[in-house]
Amino acid sequence: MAMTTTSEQPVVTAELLGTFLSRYSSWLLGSGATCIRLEKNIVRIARAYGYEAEMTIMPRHVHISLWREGCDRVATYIATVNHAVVSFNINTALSRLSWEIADGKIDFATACSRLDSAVHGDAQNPWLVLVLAGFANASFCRLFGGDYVAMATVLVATLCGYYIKQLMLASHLDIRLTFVVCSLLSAVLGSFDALFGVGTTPDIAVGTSVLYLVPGIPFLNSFSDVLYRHYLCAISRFADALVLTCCLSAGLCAGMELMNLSMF
Amino acid sequence: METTLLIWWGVVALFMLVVVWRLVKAVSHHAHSGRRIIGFASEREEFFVPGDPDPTKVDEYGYDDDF
Repeated sequence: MAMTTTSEQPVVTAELLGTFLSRYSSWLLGSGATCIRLEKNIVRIARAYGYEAEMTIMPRHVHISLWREGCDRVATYIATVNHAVVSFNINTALSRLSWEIADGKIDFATACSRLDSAVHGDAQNPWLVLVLAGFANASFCRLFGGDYVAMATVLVATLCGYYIKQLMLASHLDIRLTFVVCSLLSAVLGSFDALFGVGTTPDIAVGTSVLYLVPGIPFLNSFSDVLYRHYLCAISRFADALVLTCCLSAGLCAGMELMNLSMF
Repeated sequence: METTLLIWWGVVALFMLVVVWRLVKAVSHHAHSGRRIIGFASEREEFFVPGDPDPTKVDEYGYDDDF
């Protein structure tokens, strides 16, 4: 690795740092971070190595320009945003990495290997996620006033729907189709109470059986981007979330129609 | 009402079909990988500890010559 050293700390070339920051921003933005977090982390890392950074954040690409104070040469790098699943583990690991670099706790080579391990070491147990999602949705049902029968129904509907969601996404099927299929399945299974006349809150069971599909993080991120005036990203995220919500609604409506359940 | 019930059971049956298909696929994959839940195994397989070399890829020739 082409690095020279000074008396204080190793000097990283703009080329190396630019490549590192491109990968970093690609993963951070793709893992569901907001634009302001990306800006702060990139500037923090760049300053730790003696560079100033400016960036343009687009919905699918990030442009990063690096230069040294008093130097008229600017290096610009473009990274394509990595479209991975939202992962708070990766977000946390990458933010922690930026602080470790800023505090001078790790050198550049270690930072590169940490980046690799952070993005490739996020192995979540799909079965655990499935079960936790099921119980979380059943709890939502309770919060909305559902009885224990409705909670059990929502638990089963969520487990089945989420399992199919995992299967379809693992098979790289279109996420919009996945949302329609999963919400349809969960709505049909969630209508068990109404169909068989058990429980006292069948409507809440149907309504909350698809809540696990609500794209909450893109909605929140788009709101955060609006606050910090990243309007393009905000609109893009909002549009993505809106499309998914429409797919969810289409599946729910189709399921209710099939089960002869009235909406009002 | 009967049509609704039929659709509901149809969706449940379809889901069960997917689950069974996945299960069969997983069992078939497991069987082809040479790992058995019950069977005669070598000492190396019996005392396999995660991190050891894959028992199926280890050359057992002369493994217990000293004993």
